[in-house]
Amino acid sequence: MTEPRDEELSRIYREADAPEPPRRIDDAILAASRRAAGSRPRAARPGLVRRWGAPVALAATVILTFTLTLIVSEQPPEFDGVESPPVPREPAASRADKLAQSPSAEPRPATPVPIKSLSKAEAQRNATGQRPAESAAAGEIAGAREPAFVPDAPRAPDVLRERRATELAPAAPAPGASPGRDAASTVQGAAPARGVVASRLETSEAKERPPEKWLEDIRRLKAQGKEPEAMRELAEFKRRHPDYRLPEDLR
Amino acid sequence: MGVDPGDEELMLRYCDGDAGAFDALYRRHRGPLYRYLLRQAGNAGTAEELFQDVWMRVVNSRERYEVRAKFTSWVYAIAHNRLMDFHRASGRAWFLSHEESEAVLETVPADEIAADLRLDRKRAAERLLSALSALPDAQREAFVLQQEGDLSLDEIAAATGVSRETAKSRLRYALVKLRASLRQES
Repeated sequence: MTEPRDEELSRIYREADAPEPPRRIDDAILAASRRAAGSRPRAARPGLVRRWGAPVALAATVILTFTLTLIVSEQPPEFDGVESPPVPREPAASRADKLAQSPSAEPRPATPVPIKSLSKAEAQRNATGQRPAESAAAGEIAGAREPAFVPDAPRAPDVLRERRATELAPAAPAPGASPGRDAASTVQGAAPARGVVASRLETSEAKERPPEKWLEDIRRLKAQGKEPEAMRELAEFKRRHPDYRLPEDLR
Repeated sequence: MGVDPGDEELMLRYCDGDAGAFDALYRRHRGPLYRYLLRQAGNAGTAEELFQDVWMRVVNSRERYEVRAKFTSWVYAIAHNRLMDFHRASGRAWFLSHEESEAVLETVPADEIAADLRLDRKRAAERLLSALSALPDAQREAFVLQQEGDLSLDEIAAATGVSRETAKSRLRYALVKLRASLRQES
């Protein structure tokens, strides 16, 4: 359907005066439009949400998963979930005796000490100049549920190893005190909770002990009539050093 | 060279916070919209007031704007409604008794434009504007919407809230009367 239109009239109309709005009105309107645009951008239109919603959600999920994986993989594993036979406390105490660098010292039975004495032992340790953070770390381990201890933790980071080494620090005696006795009382004072820690540490230490020294210790246990402990130590030694040729007397 | 974005695209960009899009839209339509209001209101003061009000409505509608029609149809509909409100408020009976029968229209001959006006284009333009201001409001509006807004018959009908046939009738009357004005006093 044709629309009424007169081209000649349109041409004459276009040649007529074409008034325009004053400049001040232009400025006022444009300023108002900029204020409105700057103040609050309109919420995303439904079409925009539909178009970008799924990819953005997917990207966010991937980033979140990656970040969580990274965080978890970088965290030191406390326990790797492998059950191992519980380490008896008595040997732990005797290991502590050895740690006290007192080869001639008589083996002492592991006597449970009331929790009260823990603070005493703690105070003694503090007197040796141990940092509070280290004590806190030790307390954290001691306060944990008695775990299935895993002697060989290849993935354990250096930080944990350092913590365990710190536990061995009582070997440094308090001034004026018998070194062996101090060390023993420190470790015994922490029993039974600290017995777990001590047994962990002794295994850790055993890991780093030279084979010759270890065999010497086993011989000494045998000489002292501690046959079961000697056998256990020997078994552990074989497990750790399967290629080591044992001397005749220990085969 | 890229194609200029359409009015609707510019308005959507403005809705998303692009102030430059509004500038472009405003530059494109400021003159025609102002002239439409000026021709219909009859004085510059009222035209400026209405003009500013229409654009502020455009600005304020950015939160809920959706493309349902051409931007020009939408903005001239706003302007038309503002004019109606203005005339109602000022007590003027606008658009009353201006509809004429098609029968009368059929009898009006398509006049030739006078020869001297063909040569003197400036005078012809003055004569046309004078005749335009003398037209009934509805007929003048149909003509100005066609010339300034470049609206089709359907868009004129939508913007002014009448049927297509009514819009067509108004436009034809306007054209015939304007052409007749250019024939006289040659």
